[in-house]
Amino acid sequence: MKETTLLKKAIRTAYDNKKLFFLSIFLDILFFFVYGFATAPIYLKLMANVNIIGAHAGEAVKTATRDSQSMFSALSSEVIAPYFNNIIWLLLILAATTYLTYCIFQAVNWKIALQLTGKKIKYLDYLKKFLLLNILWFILFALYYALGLVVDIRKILISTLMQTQASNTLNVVLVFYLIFIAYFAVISYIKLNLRKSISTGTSKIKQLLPSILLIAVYLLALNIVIKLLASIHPLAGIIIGFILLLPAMTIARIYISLTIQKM
Amino acid sequence: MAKKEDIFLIIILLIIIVVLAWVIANLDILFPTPGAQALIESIA
Repeated sequence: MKETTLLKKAIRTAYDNKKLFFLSIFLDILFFFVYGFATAPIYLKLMANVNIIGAHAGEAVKTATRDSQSMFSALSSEVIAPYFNNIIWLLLILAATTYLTYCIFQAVNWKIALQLTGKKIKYLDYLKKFLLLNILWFILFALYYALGLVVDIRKILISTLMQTQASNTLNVVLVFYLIFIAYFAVISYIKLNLRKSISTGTSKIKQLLPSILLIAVYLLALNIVIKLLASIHPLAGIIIGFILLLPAMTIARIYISLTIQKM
Repeated sequence: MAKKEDIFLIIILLIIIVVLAWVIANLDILFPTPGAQALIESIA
């Protein structure tokens, strides 16, 4: 079946099941709000700790350089160490909050998509598998986050110390790594089995790629439209962005579910 | 009827959610940071 036929079927399915379609949209909105409210205080606290380290950094680096110590010993100095420890704890709390809110809300939404495409599974059974599968994806995503931070710091150091622009090769590699995680994660949400997901993802890549490209192109176009609108009128950008993004996310889930289940 | 392991999962999740919510609500007590004035004084 061609990609467009499946897409039409996904839109038709969403249209025929308005209650579940709107429930899915509502849960996405709720997810964004809960995630925002839960993580905002953590981000604020992280910033407060980073600022304190930043304020003491000059002195610590000077002492470390004078005593020929490493940067790590500068970070473990008596003044900075407690705040550095705070940052590690806060990052762990942030990761746990993100993991939990993502799993609880997105498990319902993926379960709705599966239900609409004919796969019957109880929410709690689905949630259990979703929680387990996402442990791996979250560890890989945390690695992406940490590597991104290292690449950014490297870039800043090169531009300030060497007065030259660092190449973007590592950023491109990281983007491909993120696509790789997202690709297999999405397949696993439907297959619910890591081994099957990896084998489907690798052996059926030619059949899956057009569908995923279709979604990627839509989201990319949406990103450009929202940015353009937000530059003209910020509130209009947010409202139209939500109107265009939320139904698209639900339809995309149904569409991917249809595509993968057809294999 | 819900299975025993389902009830166990719900209880575990609820405990984690309550603990996390408590931690987030008490971040200022758990991770105290000096205010701007105190920070300036400590550096000076």
